[in-house]
Amino acid sequence: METGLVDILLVEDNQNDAELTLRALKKVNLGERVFVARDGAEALEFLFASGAYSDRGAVAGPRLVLLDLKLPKVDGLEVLRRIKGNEATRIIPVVILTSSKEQRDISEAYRLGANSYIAKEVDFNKFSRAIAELGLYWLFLNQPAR
Amino acid sequence: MAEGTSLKLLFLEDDPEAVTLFRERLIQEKNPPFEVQCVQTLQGGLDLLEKGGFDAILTDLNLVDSKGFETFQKLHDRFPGIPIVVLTGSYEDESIGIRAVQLGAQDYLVKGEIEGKILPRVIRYAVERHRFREELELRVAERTTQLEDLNKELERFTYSVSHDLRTPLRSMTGFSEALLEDYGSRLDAQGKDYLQRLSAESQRMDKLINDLLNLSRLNRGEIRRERVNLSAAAREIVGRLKEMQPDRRVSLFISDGITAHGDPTLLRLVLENLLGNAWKFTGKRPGAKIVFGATRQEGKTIYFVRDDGAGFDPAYSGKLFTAFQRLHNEAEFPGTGIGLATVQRIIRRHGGLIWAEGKVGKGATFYFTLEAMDSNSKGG
Repeated sequence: METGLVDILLVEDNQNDAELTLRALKKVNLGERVFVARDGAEALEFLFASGAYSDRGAVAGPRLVLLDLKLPKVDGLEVLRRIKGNEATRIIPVVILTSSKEQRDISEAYRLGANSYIAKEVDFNKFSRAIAELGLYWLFLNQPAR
Repeated sequence: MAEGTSLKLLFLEDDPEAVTLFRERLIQEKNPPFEVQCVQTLQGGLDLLEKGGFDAILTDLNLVDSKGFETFQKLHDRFPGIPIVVLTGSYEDESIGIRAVQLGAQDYLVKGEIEGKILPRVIRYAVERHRFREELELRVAERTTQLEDLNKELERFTYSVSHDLRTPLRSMTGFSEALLEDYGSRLDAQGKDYLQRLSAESQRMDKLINDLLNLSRLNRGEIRRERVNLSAAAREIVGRLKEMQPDRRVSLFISDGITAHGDPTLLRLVLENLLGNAWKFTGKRPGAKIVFGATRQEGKTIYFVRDDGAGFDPAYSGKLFTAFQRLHNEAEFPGTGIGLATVQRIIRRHGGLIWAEGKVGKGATFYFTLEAMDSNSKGG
């Protein structure tokens, strides 16, 4: 995958969920510049242009991060903590996209600076609509900081 | 204090006569022998205790440097691990001794009423009682830790259930939908119907997981207690049921002014389940009737929801409130089988009871209370 120009960083370890999310994004023409990271460590390497992604220009950073919470290696809350704790990445909107509706996950995510928290619906139509709406909102409707 | 070794007692007393008298009685004891160290001031006593090694304290409450209840309190605050027996003067109010016992002293003795061998016995028992209590406290602490661990384990389990069981379901609905969208033109009506069933069943399982999680959450958290207008809540719930099925003709009787003292969210869940069930199980009866009311029995309120629907076989009434136990098949009356288990748990957490009466084809009545009842008086 082209890692130079990326609009959305999708951090998702489940192959099926990743595919379904991409499918929903493609429906609203947001499927082209998406990079999928399979675990928290890969997401961090990608974001901070280190490890396998050290040749990636840090400037081409995503405009939106879709972040699952339950991830191998480095969990989602830790990834969020690192994004929001770094001067260069803290302005990137992070949307938590997870199966967990546990109140403590929701509170902790917002405490760490998450911009939205979306519980993944089992009903695919609802799921699909949510993905499309949040993609359009954060990439087009929302006016980001420069 | 090991068996056979002596019992080391610190005796705080500033009256030389009392020192001699009580000391005499104590050192005559052989089983176990007493080692008595006497001190005249509270400060002196505290200094000695600091060095350690004492099994018990016997203290007069009135010393040169400390008077009354305060003497006990200072000793107990600094050395809560050592049993204390207090001595009060016969001219003093006995209530001070009682108060000391209430706040942690092992016993009190009134000077002038201490006869024969009672003094060493009181001290010996004080030491035993204290040790027994410490053992119990230790065991309670161990048990509490075990329970806390178990609870955390259970929460972790609930957490993974909520996350991991949903993920495959989403794949099922998602790819069914994808198949329908991308290859729908190549499927006939039956093929499409199969896919839709797949999707619907996945969503039903999602609801099941949700209900189950809600049920397990009921064990956590505090129950709020406030005044709740149940009549108003029932009207709202029934209003929504009517909106969802506007074609149904049901006579609804909701008594006015029914209130309860309980958790508003949870009590609403109770009514949603009971009225929802009544609505569901009268679905095949034209002109059905549903009643929500309350009666009083022995000064306590019994709430009830009555319908004239499908009812149930009283032989199975014990299974009504067990999770996943259903008395009707899914095709006839759909449901997850968790509703009444949830209702029962809420009622129990309020300290109340729930029970049901019914017959096949003759409707059902669910009764509940929100306060403890004599179990013999239930039964409508």
